[in-house]
Amino acid sequence: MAGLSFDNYQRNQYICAKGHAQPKATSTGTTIVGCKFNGGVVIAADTRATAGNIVADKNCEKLHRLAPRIWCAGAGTAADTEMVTQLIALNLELHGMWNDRQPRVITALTMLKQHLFKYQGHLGAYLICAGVDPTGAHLMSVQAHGSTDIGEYQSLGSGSLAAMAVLETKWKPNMTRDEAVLLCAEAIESGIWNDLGSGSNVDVCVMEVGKDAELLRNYLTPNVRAPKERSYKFPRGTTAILRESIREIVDVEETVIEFNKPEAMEVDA
Amino acid sequence: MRETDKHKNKIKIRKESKPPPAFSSTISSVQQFHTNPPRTILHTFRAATYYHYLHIYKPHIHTSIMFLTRSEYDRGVSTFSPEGRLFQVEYSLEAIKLGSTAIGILTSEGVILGVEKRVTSPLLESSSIEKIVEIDSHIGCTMSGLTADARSMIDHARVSCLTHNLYYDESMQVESLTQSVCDLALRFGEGASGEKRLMSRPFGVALLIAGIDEKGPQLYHAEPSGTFYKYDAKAIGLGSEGAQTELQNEYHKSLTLKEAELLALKILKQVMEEKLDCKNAQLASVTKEGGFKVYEDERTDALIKELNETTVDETAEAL
Amino acid sequence: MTTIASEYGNENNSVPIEHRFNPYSDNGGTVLGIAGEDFAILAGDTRIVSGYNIDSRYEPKVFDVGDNIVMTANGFAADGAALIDRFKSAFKWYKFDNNNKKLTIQSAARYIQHLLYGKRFFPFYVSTLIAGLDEEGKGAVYSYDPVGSYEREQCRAGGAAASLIMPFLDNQVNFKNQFEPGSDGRVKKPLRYLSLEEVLALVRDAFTSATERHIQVGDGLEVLIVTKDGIKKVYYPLKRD
Repeated sequence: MAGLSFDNYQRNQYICAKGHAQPKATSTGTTIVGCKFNGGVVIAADTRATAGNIVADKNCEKLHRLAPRIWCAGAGTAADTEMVTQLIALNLELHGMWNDRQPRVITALTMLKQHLFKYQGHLGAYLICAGVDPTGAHLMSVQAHGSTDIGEYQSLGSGSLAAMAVLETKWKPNMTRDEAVLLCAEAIESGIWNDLGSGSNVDVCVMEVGKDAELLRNYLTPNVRAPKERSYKFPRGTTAILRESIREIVDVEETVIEFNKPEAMEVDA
Repeated sequence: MRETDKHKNKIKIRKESKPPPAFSSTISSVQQFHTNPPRTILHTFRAATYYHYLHIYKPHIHTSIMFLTRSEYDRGVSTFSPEGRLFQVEYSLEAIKLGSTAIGILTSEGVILGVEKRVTSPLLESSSIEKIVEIDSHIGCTMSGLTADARSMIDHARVSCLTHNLYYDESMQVESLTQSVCDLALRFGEGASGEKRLMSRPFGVALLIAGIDEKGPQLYHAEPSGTFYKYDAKAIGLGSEGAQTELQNEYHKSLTLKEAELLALKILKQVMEEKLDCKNAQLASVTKEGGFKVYEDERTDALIKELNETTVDETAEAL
Repeated sequence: MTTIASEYGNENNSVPIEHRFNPYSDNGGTVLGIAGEDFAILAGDTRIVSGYNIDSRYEPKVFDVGDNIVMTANGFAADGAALIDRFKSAFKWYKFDNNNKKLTIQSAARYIQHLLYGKRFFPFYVSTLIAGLDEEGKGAVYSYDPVGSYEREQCRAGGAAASLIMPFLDNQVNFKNQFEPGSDGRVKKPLRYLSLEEVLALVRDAFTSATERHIQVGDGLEVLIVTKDGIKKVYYPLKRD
């Protein structure tokens, strides 16, 4: 059956009441931003994925493709942003084929908000949705509960305040593509430095009207690991072999047994 | 024995005859107080009541009216007299002079403590007179005066050592311990930072504290006044005057522990009226190796025997 | 059977919601102590954190507390500072009360146990480390739990990334799980004292690695090195993301 199953909801409530912790979904502390410019839109994200205080992935991808020219930056619960994005991408493609048109950003946004609203915020997906379509360049954001915003620049995630500080300071109307890319990258960097949930590199995606979207994976890499002071190569034999069991290789012998193989045919009888 | 030592041994120590020094010291202090300026009429009036009391119960000290007026400043233990004296503290110092003699001698190997035990009756079990006690494995002390007062001091000292060891995982320094005991000595008044008054009067006992720490063997004398001094050799109690003189004559820095044992016994023998034996004299030592040890009776006896032999030898020589 | 919607009406939340003041917070950071033959080091990152915010990129938390002893208390920064203040004050009193005697690391260690246990039922929320030289001049590191249980060790990591660094130290300082090649796991790699250079390299690698994988670790690394000649301070920058 499709959709989410709430079969274990009450069981889990009971288990929690008994003092057992519920498994936590990995919430990606994140910085994502988007910014429009003359003739297009750009979105950007950091690449750190965290599980609590531990960095789960130093170079994850938070920029998802909804349609060839519609991209989405995701913050919140990693699994939710991933699944919602995939589902909407699939439905957008079906929608495009059904109508024989290129999907529009507003369509993607509507599908996202309807889906998220249906789940009443239980899907922790916070997205910045941007793209170009026959109606021009668009930039919108969706909250987990289903509310949406439209604006010239957006930021979301745990690093949104750090990023917004940069956007509010340096954004100006009618920017060029390069200016917008630089601004978005700087906003993400602000999140990388000042927000513990964000870190590592900057991914950028540029969508220009009439052109294919351009994903600039690891546009900035300001956090390259310094080389280690020592080599940690162990001499061969350092690790003890605790137990050893050797099995004979089973030889598969192939024997062809033929039944009722007719003897030399008796012709006479 | 060296030549000079021989000479010193020939000095005869005068055994004090009656009246006992306790009495004479009281007289001397009374004479001292004669020099005090006269008090007001009111004071004299009050003192009269006291005089009456003294007359009935202590007829032997009715000699001086000045002695009585002094009592005005005796009531409060922490009230200064106009001359800047704390009489009760001064008297407590006198109480020590009534106690049996105790001696401490410092050597480079360790410290020797020696004390006289007054066995007042042949029916008295001498082992029940406890005048040398352990404070910690590296510190011991002997006392003179109101030995019962020493109980709470020893308790305090033991607690201090134990607490220090608990908090710092090391032995307490001898000087710190002595300071801690002296802090207690002043608790007959309220503390400066609101500590409660623990006692109604100053202690009537002085301690000779012997110990060893990373600074080597040490000997301290702690008084009821709360002051303490470090000594090479010190005698307190009844025979202290004579004993101290003798210590001054006999002491030198290169004294061995063995020589100190014999010296302590020799001086005790000189100041005591009874014949010296293990029942009326006790020794203890603090050394690096053995820590604090009270000598067994057999050991004390053996030392007394040795002392007697050498003294006889010298007497023979002198003749 | 599958239920489409759950019976929310059946939920019985009879437990009243309690709102209570929480006097503790976690300020992140991590610390590390290693004892060598004639030296000891205490290292700590210099980042102070609250939630996802960086409160400071340089706030030293390893201190020279006197008599060639260094100390750190990592966890709840206010408690850490308070504990070190109390120790410094106790240290002065020790000097007053004991004729300026040098406080041995062993005595300091015992005293800190009492400072911590003194708050047994409202503990200092810290993992405490001290380092120095023992009475034989050998490097010493003592580590504590929040209520004063302590132990002398060759090395110890504390704080946020302790669980990341400690296994590395076990392997690289005490040679755990390392055997003599060719001995077939029967002869353990013999223990030896590490030189100061080796130790500093390990410390730097431990901290750069912890910075990679722990969000509360970074910005700077400050190391206090104790030798018979005194205490030396060194600083290495760490990644700031």
